[in-house]
Amino acid sequence: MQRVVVIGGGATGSGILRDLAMRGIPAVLVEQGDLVHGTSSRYHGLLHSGGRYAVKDPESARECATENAILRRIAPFAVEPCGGIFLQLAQDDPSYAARWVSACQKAGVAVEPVDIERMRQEEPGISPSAVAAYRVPDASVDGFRLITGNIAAAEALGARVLTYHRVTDLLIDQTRVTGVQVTNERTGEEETLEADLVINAAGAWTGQITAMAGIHLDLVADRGVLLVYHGRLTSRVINRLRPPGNGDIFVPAGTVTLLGTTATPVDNPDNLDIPPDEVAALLRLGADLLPAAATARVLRAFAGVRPLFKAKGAGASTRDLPRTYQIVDHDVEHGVPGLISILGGKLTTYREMAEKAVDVAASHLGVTTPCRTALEPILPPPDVDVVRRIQVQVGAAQTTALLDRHPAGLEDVAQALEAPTGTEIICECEQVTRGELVAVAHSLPDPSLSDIRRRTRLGMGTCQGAYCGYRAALVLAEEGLAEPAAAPAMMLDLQAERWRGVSAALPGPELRGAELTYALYSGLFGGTKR
Amino acid sequence: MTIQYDACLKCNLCELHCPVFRVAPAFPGPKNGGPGIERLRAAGRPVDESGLDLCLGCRTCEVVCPAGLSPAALVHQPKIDKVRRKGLPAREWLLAHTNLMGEVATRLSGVTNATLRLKPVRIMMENVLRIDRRRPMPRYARGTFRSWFARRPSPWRDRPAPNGQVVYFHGCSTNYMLPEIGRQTVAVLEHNGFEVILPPQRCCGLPLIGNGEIDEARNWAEYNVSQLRPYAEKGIPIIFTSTSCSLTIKQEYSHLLGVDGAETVSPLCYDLFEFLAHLHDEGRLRLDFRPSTQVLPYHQPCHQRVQGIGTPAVRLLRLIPRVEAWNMDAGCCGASGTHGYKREKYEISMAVGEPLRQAIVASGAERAVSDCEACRWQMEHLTGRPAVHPVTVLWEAYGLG
Amino acid sequence: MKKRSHTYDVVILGAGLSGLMAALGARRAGADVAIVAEGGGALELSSGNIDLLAGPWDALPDGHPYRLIGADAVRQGMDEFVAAAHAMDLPYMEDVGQQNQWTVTAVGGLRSTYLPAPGAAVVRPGESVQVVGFRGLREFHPGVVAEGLHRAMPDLRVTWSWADLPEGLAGLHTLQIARRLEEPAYREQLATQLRSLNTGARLLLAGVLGLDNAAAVRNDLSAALGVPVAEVPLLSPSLPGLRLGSALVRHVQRAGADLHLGARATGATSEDGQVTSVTCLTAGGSIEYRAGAFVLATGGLLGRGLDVAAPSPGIKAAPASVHVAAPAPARPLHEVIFGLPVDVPAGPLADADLLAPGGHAFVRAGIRTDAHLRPQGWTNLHICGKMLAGYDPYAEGCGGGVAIATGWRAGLLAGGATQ
Repeated sequence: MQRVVVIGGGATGSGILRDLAMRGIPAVLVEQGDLVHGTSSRYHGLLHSGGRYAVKDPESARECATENAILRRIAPFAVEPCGGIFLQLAQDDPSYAARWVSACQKAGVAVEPVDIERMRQEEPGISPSAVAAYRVPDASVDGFRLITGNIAAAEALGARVLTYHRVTDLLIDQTRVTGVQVTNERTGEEETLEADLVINAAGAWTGQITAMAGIHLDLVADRGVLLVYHGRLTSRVINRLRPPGNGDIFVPAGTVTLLGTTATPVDNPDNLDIPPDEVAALLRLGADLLPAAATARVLRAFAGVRPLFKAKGAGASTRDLPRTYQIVDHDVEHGVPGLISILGGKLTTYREMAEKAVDVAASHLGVTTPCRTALEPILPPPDVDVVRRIQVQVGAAQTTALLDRHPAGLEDVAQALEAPTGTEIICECEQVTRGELVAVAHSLPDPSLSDIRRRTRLGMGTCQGAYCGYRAALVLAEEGLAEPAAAPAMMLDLQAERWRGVSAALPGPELRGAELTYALYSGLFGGTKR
Repeated sequence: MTIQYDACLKCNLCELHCPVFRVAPAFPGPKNGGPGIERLRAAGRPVDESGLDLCLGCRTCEVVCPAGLSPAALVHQPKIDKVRRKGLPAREWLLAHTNLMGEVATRLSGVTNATLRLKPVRIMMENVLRIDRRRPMPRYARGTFRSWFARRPSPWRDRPAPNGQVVYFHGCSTNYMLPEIGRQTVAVLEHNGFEVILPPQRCCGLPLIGNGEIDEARNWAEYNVSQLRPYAEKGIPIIFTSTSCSLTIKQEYSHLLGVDGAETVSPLCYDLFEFLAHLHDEGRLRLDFRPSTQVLPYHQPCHQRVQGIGTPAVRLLRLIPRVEAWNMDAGCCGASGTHGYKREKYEISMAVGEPLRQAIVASGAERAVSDCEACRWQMEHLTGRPAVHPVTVLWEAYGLG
Repeated sequence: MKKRSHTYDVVILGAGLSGLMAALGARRAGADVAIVAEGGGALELSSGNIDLLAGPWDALPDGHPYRLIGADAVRQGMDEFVAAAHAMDLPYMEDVGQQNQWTVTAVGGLRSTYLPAPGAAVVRPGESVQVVGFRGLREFHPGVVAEGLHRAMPDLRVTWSWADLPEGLAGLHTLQIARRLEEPAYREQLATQLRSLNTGARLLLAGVLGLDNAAAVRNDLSAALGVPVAEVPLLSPSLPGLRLGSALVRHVQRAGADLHLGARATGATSEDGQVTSVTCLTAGGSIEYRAGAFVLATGGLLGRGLDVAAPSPGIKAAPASVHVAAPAPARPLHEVIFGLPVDVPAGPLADADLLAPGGHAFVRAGIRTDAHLRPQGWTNLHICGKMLAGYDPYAEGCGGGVAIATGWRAGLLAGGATQ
């Protein structure tokens, strides 16, 4: 029986769940969609060094610098330590660099100037108009792996997770919050979960939750668009050395490169529209840093909504709102006991945010166990025997990829690979085998292809799911994990999701890929009778 | 780097047309083995390169790719890297040094040819060198083509050739095994009013390139370019009768080996029938052919197809009255130069050539035609029927025999 | 020796279905023909069925390629295709009533087509069929097909089951399986198994029944089982498309056209609205093709006859600040060889729904021509197939028909035929 309900399966919520579990506090997490449904899967994938915030938001910079080092240590499975640079271009304000360096030093962000010609050799794609470069400990982080790692660690200690359970109301007894009412989005059933404390880590939806208790917060949903390039345009994070603005960060993420972002306030956190002019702006701005970005193949565009809050005396633009976070104890602030909310924040600082939130929760619950989330690795190293069994099936190269993708649950993957058709490749672009697909599908209730995509990278490569989505649906039907009658719809759902992103990035070289997908699927489905 | 795989759509056309992929499940295919894993490599991911060396280097993938990529070049790169690290294995060294083998073997051709037909010798070669015993070794000629050319008097010693000079790059097979091809080529060119010049030349280097030894190939290439360049600079065409030589010198010398001066030589390089077709377009090809009722199914060598010159041999053979010639277009023959000799590739080679075998047999023709010697040997091995170079047909039609 | 140059009566740019039909048309007109192409066409990506038109003829807009050339020309092109196909041992046949027929797709959908590929699974209401899949062939699930068919045509009696590929083959690629099935001994083993499963109904199997000898494979299996055997084309590769493509390429060369693959056209010269030559880049350098007439059959976006416009040089140096609103480029696509103006429908390039009934604007992009398939201002250049503006082959179900009819017509016209 839980003492705490955590709302939100993103970085903050999963960090909180792990911390609660490590402190021995039984908890259940509810998430309206799949894990990492919200902002945590819709951003750069940047593990900030803090450099970006050093000048305007030094508190946030300091938090990032500290947490960056911690996350590299506790979550190596999710972090690609590619390093980063801040690049000053000839057309940027030359006086900013000195201010920035000094601000970084004050905030504890490690900065190392590097000769620009040397940097050109290391990174040949940078703009000819680049005049100065500084190394910073930026890194690329896979939000999905990080969060599923936290969840796995929490579940191993007894925590429960309910995905596709949307909070429809808070249970309130007089003024006290005593739990949540949720709807199972899959079945339509309603359920109540009672608890001593509800922690609201709903990110961009935080305000919707607090409104259920009659509390209205001054929150802003700030939408940003990002582009995904097909290839690796850069081997490290590249930031533009000027005040934070649009289109000034490139992040390599496995086989692709992300470019972002923009900042547009929107009315509601579900607004993930992708305005064509923002896409065009990103292409132009990105080309300033990496000229190849103007013509390289953009696979897709996507949008994410940042949860920002208005600190007192904040400026007009959302760019001026603080990136730091706030823990709100509604008992203290609004006379509503039993509810704690987390406002703002960044994925890079999720662990600290979780620690502070759980400190507040623990004091209410009378638990004195100290926080150890920074001290212990999120997951134990993989079992050597399991790794060897996997390697026997798929070889060394693929084993590495599997270890990265499944820091937890490797035993199930190994077993599935050992089945007769286990090593058959389903997704060629990302080398996803039938065994991996089946193991993941078995671990989820009623999985969609998108749920599987997030966990395996199936459909995230060159063909954007055109072939592998088709095969995966058929394999799931064959394995009894989906009804044959449902397989076509599963394929179409995946294609619709991918198409959203692909069509938003047009025109561009991906037009050819778009036509190919269209040709293939209209051959399968089109032609009047469905 | 991004350019080489960025445009790949995974349209699958390369995989569909790859002759090896459909017969050898151990081969990942040009799509996965080329841009597929290059994308993963670029991300720093470890990749599985096993099976890539089953590629026959036919470059069909390159020819059919609508994005203009060369999966073949990507598939070939790991082999080059491996040879840089570990050197050429003994068998590959032997097969690739055709020059050396030829110089020795032609002096002892009788003994060599007889020995290479002895079963115990072939068994030993298979056990020690893994050269498949079923693959017939080509027969060495008694004397080289060059020695014949050096001995015979030029027809132009009293007057200049009316159409000027051409250089002939004969290649190893013509010199050591098939000097009659060289003799017929010279006769046809002289018949059309050209003086044939034979500068010193080495093996073009393709067997080395095909087996991954780029650096030594570059040395040989530099020599050949030094010999050919003076003629190219004077605008003298350089004629080839072996399509692997013509592709290598036309393209690989500059693109792959980066040889200085290769770009001066390349525009003057012509496959023999490419040259004759241009001549015909200009109205300068002699058309005094004897009519001859023949059915001539033609096989285009893969290395000629990649050159993008069409099928000039078919075009010209059709000029001979009563000849029915057509391009069978039945895929790669499977020989792939030195690769078809290797034990581990022999069965693949024969399986790849099966559609061609069926096409030749279905044609009912007495002999088939192809410009590449490796293709001809393979066609003979597949069908038991003779295969000739198109120059032989032309030579016969001109009555030069 | 002058610069490398070839002279033909007609040069066709592109070796897809429309280019190959144009070659046949030009040969019929007695012309000396070369087909010059960078790569192969996209037939291998198609089902092998030839779609003429899914909807009613009268609903076609004026600018549609069928309207341009007229119904008689469409009929003529289709007849020529059928004749050529029969000459290639691919007996494409129209339905007796000249109606579209329902072919089965790999998800059990029903796709309307005019000329099903030989051996394609065609179904009619009231029939009985049995769908059998092969374990180890991951591209085909008989249950999915059966469920789909059941929904799409409720009065079709469908059952389904699994069979195993002989020798326990698994994880093989479609092509590899198809090749094995060309071996009589292997086929016999499969037939034995199918015989034990067959309910007596017509059999629908995955589209792996052989490569170039598909007819023999099918007939052999049908004879061994005593029931007709038909194929469902898979997503990729679709073997019926591959078979048609390979056969047509050979047939066209047999008919006397010269095929130059591996030659990428990069530019052209012209004089007074007449194309005089096209320059191509090959492995060996540049080659010029001169001809009296040219046919542009370069396949639209997939064939790279249309490409994405490079951004104009001025845009790159945008100042550092924020969120600059920029208009979408007026002409996002350009025609690669001649620089012909590309007609792109107004509005978003792609519909938000992948399978929107109205199709997508970017697919309708192409070159506008007169009734002789000539772009404005050009006298000896004819456009055919995907390069034509004003149609969506997928949404309208007319891809094959447009390629064939406009290809044949363009070839005849380029070859100098007056009608």
